[in-house]
Amino acid sequence: MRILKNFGLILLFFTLFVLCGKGFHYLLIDDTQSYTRLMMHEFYHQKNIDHLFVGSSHCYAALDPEITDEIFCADTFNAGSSLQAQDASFALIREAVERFHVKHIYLEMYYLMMSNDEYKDREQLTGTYIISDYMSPSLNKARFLLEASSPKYYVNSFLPARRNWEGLLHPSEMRELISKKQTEAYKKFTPFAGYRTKGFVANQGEIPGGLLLDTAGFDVIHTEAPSSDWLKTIRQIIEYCGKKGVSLTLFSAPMTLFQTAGVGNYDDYIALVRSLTEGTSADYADFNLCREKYFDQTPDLFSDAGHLNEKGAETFSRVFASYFTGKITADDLFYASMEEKISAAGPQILGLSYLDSGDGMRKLKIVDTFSGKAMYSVTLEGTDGISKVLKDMDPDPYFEISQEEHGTLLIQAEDITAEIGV
Amino acid sequence: MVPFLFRLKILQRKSGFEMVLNSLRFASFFLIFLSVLLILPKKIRKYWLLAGNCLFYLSWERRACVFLLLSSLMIWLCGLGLRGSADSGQQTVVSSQKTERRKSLFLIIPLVWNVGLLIFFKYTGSFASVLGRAGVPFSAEAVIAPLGISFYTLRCISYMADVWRGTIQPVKNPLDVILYVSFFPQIISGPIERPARFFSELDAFQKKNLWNFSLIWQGFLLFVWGLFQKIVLAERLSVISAHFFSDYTAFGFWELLLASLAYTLQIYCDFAGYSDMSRGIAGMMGFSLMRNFRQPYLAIGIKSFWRRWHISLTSWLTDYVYIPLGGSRRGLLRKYVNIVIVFLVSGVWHGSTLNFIFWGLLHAFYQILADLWDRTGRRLPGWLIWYITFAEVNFAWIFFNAGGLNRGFRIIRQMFSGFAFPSELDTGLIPGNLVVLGLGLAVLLLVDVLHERKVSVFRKVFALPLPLRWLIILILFWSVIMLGIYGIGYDTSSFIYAQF
Repeated sequence: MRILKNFGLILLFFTLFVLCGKGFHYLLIDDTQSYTRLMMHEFYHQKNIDHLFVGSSHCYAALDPEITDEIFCADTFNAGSSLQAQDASFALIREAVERFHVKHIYLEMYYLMMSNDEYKDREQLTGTYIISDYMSPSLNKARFLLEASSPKYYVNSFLPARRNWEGLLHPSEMRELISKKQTEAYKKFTPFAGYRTKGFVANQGEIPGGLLLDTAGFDVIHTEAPSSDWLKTIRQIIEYCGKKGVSLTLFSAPMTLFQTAGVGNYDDYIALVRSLTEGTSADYADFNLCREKYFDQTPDLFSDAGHLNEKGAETFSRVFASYFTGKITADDLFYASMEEKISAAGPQILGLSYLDSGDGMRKLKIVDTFSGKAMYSVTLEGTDGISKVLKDMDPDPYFEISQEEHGTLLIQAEDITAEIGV
Repeated sequence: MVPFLFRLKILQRKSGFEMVLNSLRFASFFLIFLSVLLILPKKIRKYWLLAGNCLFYLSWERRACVFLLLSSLMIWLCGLGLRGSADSGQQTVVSSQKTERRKSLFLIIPLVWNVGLLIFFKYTGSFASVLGRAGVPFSAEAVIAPLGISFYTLRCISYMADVWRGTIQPVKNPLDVILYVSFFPQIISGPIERPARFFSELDAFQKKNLWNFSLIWQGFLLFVWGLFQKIVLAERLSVISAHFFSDYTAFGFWELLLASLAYTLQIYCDFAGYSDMSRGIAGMMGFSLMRNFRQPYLAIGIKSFWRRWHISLTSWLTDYVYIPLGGSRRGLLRKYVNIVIVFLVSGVWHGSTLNFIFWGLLHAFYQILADLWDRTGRRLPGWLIWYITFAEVNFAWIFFNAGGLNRGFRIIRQMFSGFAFPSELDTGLIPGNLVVLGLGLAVLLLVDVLHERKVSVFRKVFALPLPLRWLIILILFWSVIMLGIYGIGYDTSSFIYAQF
C-alpha cells in the first residue's frame, strides 16, 4: 500500500513537472504566427486521411487539399512544413498511419534536402522543432527527437521552453505574449495570413517580370554524395509503407526552369531518386518535367525561384490529382528528362544566379537554356555612367562583380540579349 | 649526439561514451541503474553495484581499468597478508623481526605501486618538459592519467594504512575492496571516503530497505542542488574568469580582481556542486557519504578554512601525513616543517606544475603566520579575520588557476600596473546571465549562511508540508533546466577537479 502511495506520488510529481513545462512553454514560446501549430492541430482533428502529402515548404505551398479532395474523391491532407527533412516526414507518416486509414503517401523530395547535415551533426533544428513541438506525446515523437540530433540538443528538444529561457528576464515581453495567446483567434486556431485549410499555405508573392536574380541553382547538385541519413530514412520510409500496406509515391513539386536549369545536372538527381525506388513498391514523379500544356512554369505561378504561389498551387493541385487519378498519363504529362525539356524551351536567358563569396565579391552565373553551348558577353552599365566589359565571347557562364558595383548588366548569349539590374 | 624520441602512448582518454554526473547520458544510466537496484534481491545488490561501477568507469577508460583493478586486488591481498603476519601467534625475537619485515613489505609494496603509478601518470609530462628544456628530446604528451587516479590512489593508501594500524580489519571479499576503490559517484572527484565508513555503509546497503522514498527524494534534492551550483553558477562564473584571465594583459586591477573573485566562487561552486551531486547520487542508492565542504568562504581564520574546504582531502592529509610526521607534538619548528610538508604534498597532488606547489606553500605560509599571530594572544575583530582569510584564499587561487608559476606572477604584476576604474565593464556575459548569476549567488549565500547558523536547509525543506516541499524542488529543478549552461557547445567533462 505504501509502495503504491509512493508510486502515486512520483506520478503526481512527474505530472506537475510536465505541467510546469507546459506553463513555461505558454509563457516563453511565441507560436502565434506558426503555420505548423495550425496544421498539426488540424491534423490531429481529422476524421480520416486517405492521402497524405509530406515534405518541405515546396509541398505545403504546392498542394491545396480543397482541390485534391475533390479530384481524388477522398480525404487528403498536406502535412508539409518549412525545412521538413526526411526524418520529420517519416515521423509524420508514422503518426498518420497509426491514427488514420492512410491509403497513399506522397513524399515531396526537394533536392537540397539531400545535402543536409547528418542528423547527429545538425546545428539548426528549426525544421525539427516546428513539427515536434506540436506532436502529441508518443514513442514515435520520442524516437523522432532522439534520432534528430546529438544528445546535446535533447533538453531543447524535449523541453522547448528552455530554448527561450532569456524570456524569463523580460516580463513585459511575457505579458505581451500572454495577451496575444489570450485572443480568441489563437485559442480557436483561426487561420491567418496565407494558411488556408488542411495544411495548405498559399504564397501570395509573384516573381516580378523580366529575368530572375536569385541564389537558387548556383551550384550543381552533388548527387555523388547524398547524406547517408537522407538515404537511410527514405529507404526506411519505403520499407515502412510497404509493411503497412500503404502506397508511397516520391514526388518533386515544380520549381522555376531558372532553378532546375541553373543547377545544370537536374537529370542526375532524377536518376538518383529513381534508383531509390527501383525494385520497391514506391514510385517517383518529378513535376519539374511537366509539359507546358499541363503546367507551364511561367514566373506568374511562382512566389520565388522555388515555390509556387497561390495561383500556381491551384493549377498544380489539379494536375497532380488528375495524374494520380489516371486522368492524365505519364507519357502525356512528362518530358523524359530535364535536358529534353530545356531543349524544347528554346534559346532563352533565364536569369542570374548569385552567391556572396564573403570577400566583398558577388559570384554570378548566367542561367539559360543553352546547356553550356553558348558564348557570353557581359557589360556592366554602372550607375555612375561608366561601362565595364566583364566578359567578351567567353564560354564560361560564371563571373564576378564587387558588392559595391551597381547598375545594369547587359548579357548576350549567342544572339539572345537580356538586361538585369544588380 | 643522436637525438632520441621516447614517445609513450599508454592510454587514450575519451571512449566516446563518457558519463559525467551532469550529462543526460549519466542521468539515463542512473535512472536505469537505480530502478533495477530497487527491485533486485538484497543478496545481489553488491554485484549490481559492481556492474554499475564497471560500466561507469569503462565509459571513460577502456584499458586503464586494469590499473584500478590491479590496485584494488593488490591492497586486498596485501591487507590480508598484513593481518596474517600480525596473527601469527607467539613468536621468538628472531621470528618477530621476520614478521615485522614481512608486515612492512605488505605495506610498502602497495604503497610503492600506487604512489608510483600516480607519479608516473601525473608527472611524466612535467618530467618530459624539464628534460625537453634541458635539450633532451623526450616527449610524453600521450601519457594521460587514468580517470580518478588521484582519488582512488588516496583511497587505496587509506585502506592499507588503516589495516596496518589496525583501525580496520582487512576485508575478506575482494569484491568489497573493488567496490570501495571504484565506487562510481566518487571515482572522478571524490570525496575521498575512508574505508571504515564506506564498509559500514556497504554493509548497511546490503541490508536496508531501499524503498525509502524519503531517502531518494533527499538524494535527488541534493543532486539537483549540486547541479544548480555547477551549471547555473560555476559555468557562468567560468565565463567571467576566463574572459579576463585569458587575455590578462589587456586589463587592470579592477577587472583582474573581479576575475579572481569569479574564479574563487567558480571553483567552490564547481567542486562543492560536484560533491553534492556525488553525495546525492550515493544517497539515492542508500549510501551516506561524508560532507566535503562546510561553507568554506564563511570561515573566520585560515585554519578554519581548511577544516571546511575539501574536507576529505584535508582530513586525509592530516591523518596520513601530518600526524605520522609527528603533527604538533615535536616542538614548534617541527610542527611548521610538518605543515609545509603537508601543503607541499597537497600542492603536488593537485598538479605537477610549479604554480600548484607555490599555491600549497602559500597556504602553509598562511597557516604558520596565523599560528604565530595566535601565539601573541592578540585578537582581531571577526569580520577583519574573515576578510583577511578570504583575501588570502582568493590571492592563492590566482596561482592555482594560472597554468604556470610565471604566469601567476605576471597576472599579479599586471593587476598592480593600473588602478583606473573601467568606464564600461564587459564581463563576457550578457546582462541576462549576470542577473541569473546574481540571483543564484544570493541563493547560495543564503543557504550557506543558514548552514553556518546550524540550520539544515535540506532538513527544513523535508519538514515542510508536501506541497511546499515539492514547490521548492520543482523551482530548483526547473531553475537548473531553464537557467543551466549546458547542451550545445558545452563540454560536460569540464569539472575542475576531474583533472586532478
